[in-house]
Amino acid sequence: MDKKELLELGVVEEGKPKKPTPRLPRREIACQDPKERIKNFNEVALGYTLKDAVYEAMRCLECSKPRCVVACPVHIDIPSFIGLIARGKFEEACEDIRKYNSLPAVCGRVCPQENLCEAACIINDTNPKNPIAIGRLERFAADYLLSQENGNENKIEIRHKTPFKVAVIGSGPTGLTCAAELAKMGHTVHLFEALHKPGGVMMYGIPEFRLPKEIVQKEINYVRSLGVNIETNCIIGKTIPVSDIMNEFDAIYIGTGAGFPNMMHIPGENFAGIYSANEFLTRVNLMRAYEFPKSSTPIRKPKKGVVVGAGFTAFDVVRIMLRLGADEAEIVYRRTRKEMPGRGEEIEHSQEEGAKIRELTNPVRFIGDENGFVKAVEVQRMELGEPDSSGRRRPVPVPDSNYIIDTDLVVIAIGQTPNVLIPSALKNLSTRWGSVINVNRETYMTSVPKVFAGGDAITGAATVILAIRAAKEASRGIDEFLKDPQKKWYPQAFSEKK
Amino acid sequence: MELFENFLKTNKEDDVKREFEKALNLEFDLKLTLQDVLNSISHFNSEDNFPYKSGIFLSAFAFKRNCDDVLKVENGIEIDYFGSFLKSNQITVKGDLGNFTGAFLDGGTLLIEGSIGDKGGYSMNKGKIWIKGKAGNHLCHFMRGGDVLVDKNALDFVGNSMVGGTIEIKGSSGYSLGYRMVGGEIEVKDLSWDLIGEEMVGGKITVRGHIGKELCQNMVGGIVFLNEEYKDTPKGKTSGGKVVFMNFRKR
Amino acid sequence: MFEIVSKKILAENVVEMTIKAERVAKAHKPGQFLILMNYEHSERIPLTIADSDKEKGEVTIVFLVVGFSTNELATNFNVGDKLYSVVGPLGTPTHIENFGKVVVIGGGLGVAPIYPICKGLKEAGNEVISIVGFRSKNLMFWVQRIESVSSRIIVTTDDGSYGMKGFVTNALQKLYDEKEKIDRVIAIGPPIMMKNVSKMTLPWGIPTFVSLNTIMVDGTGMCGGCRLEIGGETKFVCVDGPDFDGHKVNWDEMEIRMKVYKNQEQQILEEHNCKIGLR
Repeated sequence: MDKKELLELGVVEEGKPKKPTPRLPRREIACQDPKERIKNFNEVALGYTLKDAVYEAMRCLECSKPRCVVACPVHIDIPSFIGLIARGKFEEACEDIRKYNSLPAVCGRVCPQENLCEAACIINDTNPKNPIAIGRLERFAADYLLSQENGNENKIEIRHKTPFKVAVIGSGPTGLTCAAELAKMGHTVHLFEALHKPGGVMMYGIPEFRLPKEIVQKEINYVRSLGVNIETNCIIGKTIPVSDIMNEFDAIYIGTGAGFPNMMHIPGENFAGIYSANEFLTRVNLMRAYEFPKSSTPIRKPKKGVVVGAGFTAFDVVRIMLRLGADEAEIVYRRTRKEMPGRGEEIEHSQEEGAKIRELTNPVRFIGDENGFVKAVEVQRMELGEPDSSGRRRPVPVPDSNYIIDTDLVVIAIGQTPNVLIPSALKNLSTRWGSVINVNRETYMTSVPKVFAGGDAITGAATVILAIRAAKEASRGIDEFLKDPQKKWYPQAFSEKK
Repeated sequence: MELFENFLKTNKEDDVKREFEKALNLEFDLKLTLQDVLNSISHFNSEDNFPYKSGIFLSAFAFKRNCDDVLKVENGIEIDYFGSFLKSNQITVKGDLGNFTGAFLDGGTLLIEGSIGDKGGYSMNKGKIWIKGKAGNHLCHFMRGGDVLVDKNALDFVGNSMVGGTIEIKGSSGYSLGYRMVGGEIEVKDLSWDLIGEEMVGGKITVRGHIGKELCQNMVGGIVFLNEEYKDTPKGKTSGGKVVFMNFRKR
Repeated sequence: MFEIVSKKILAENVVEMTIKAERVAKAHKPGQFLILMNYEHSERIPLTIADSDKEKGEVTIVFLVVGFSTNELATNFNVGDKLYSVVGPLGTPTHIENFGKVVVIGGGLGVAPIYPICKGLKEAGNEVISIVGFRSKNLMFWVQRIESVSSRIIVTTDDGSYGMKGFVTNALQKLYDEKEKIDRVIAIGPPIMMKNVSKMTLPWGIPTFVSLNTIMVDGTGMCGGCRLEIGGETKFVCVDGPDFDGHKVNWDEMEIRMKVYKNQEQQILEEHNCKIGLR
């Protein structure tokens, strides 16, 4: 881009100081019209234009003690990359983010920034509810670089090559990040994925209209360009026995995520037409059932869909139902809107698209027709009682308040727990609640030597960014372990008696 | 410098203390300044072990020479373990340092006019570290005494398992403040994000600004002072200790 | 990878295929299955592994052309073509030890997967009596192969065109009437056959195991699409199975869950046929 074009966008000229404009309102992101977008699966938020991005970047104060950086789980140097955008160095901005986070285009889209960096932004003090749109700028920077030629290729030279080999199991956000970090440190990394495409939850869980799959594959190509060897169609513990992996590699990182759906355990749950959220999402996102019959995986198209639960997943499901042509789709939640764990923006978007929310309602039974398909769900009214240990008020059933909602498709989205495949294949692995792996909080090593774990596999279902954070810390632990496996590197090695 | 080249080639021993003692036995030319030594060894920067060995080498030299000194570190030179085991010198560093800066410090002062990496002040005992820039993760892990002052931000796990001493952060701190802290004091002037005082046993934490979620989970003892503006933040299960919301006067 | 090494039409609509998949072949144990995909946007098809050659790194599958994807696999793919994806071996292997006298029943397409089971049981020192049932003589396949790994074989056909006339259950009844001391029954085939076998052996008190092939997506316990009520508990066929105690399976539910996508299957086949007509 030549200098004149850049100046027209309003960027700071080289050598001149920046005059921040924090008092201006934050720039809203352009979205597809709700009436249009429920007919397609294209991305809802269209992203910033160059002009929007420069405007927003100019608002940043670039403070010397940035609060956003400490609130970001992976501590991206936010003022630095925003400064680069404001100076018209769009490509460098993304390279700058990649030092800290290998998946910027994904995080710019799915991170709950309003609870993290944007909540901490100092502009909130003087211009309330108008923090810098950090997430949107991150997304802009990443998209700009990815749209360039060779944008998804690594440009940093990897200095020290080590003789160590690491196996990373699972190619979700945590596996990809850990693999990328270890590759940057010079280790040889093999990344194993059970499905036919790498990306984990970014491929099967998050729908196309929130995170285009093309973007995910571009980010994965960047990780590949770091020298990571990605092997799909490979289930550790089935295709390759765990003992082989243990013998072949110097360290193993388990990033298998939380992929085992919780069910409600109420009568009639196995009627046809009742899906777990995982199955529904996998069919639609990974297998592209919405393009049926062009892609050959089928899905039942609902007329009146019901979703149980109100997390991120539930909102994704309800929006997919509307896009599949449902006349009505509603969320059934046992608490109220205030307690919903879903992200504010998602709730708003789903409302615009016509999704309904039935608060303080809990299903007690599913009713099927003579062919075994679900035709209705019996629900019970709830009221909020005393707060529980998590600080949320516990719902209590109201006696004799049952009624029936007609439906032809039910999706149960009440959370996931980690898959049991790996814990059952690895003996002596310490777990809690059956499948969540216990690790050392500083090194991320499990109870089995040289096996590390991170992401949803050690916490239960959480967000992408927390999985990335765990991966980064674990990669440091793995690096230290590889360089010095004999040393008891915490903390006894350093104890000196006085 | 041949001395350093040989030292660089020796095997890395499992204990930093022994490594340091090994360096102390070297025959340094004590007429040189710290800066001269760094200049003469800096061309080894691309070697694998350089950060680790150079820091210990420089610290041993300073320990033996026992004079106040100024060191200018250029960008791109990584030095870990600088200032470890020092007892009485006052050293000013201009530039950034790597991990384990001031580890096992036993007295004296380190003034760093730049930023430091992870695990600064690891297990320090006495003395003072003043960091004018940023500090990385795990600041003052296992700290037993002394003072640490950070002018800008510190990242995660500040004062993890600390026993004594004081930490003052003029900017913000990241996740997990005072995890399993037993004694000593931490004061953060601005924001501190999630996980304050988790599994805390004793000591004192003050956070004047914004706070994140998951406050004082499984806290057993000690006291935490927080800004009363954030009174509604839900508190985790505690079995002891005190959380006080107070009105900090605006400066 | 995943090259098709050989392809044989065994009978009408029954195809045998050998695929190069070294890791799958190496790790395969009797009773396990694999999931394959034809193209990038194809369905994931779960198929039981009928045989594996660990040295050559090849697996053999036998499948019935029932729906769109199996049709696609049978018509579009020939020797030398490559499949988009093959993943496996999945599921828990069949429990094999020296039981004594085991009756292994295969019905229709279920004849293929009993081959590795019979082989495994025989190697473990069991006396294997196999009963294989087909609709008629022209649909028969692999009879000799099964015979080679069992001590006795009974062939039944529905129309009586070969062997014994009737269903596999008739043959089982006959064995029971002959006062054979049966220690275990393993049955693989269409749900209705497995259901009837299980019903039959329940009063006799013979442990009966069946291998279920439900609708699946990922095969690793992620989606729960294969869930089924087994002995009052919800189990996932892909990780807890595919072998289950036939007396505990809720067969009515199994039938319902197999029919979920009947309409869509019709739609895609029609659409496909329309396109062929236009050409």
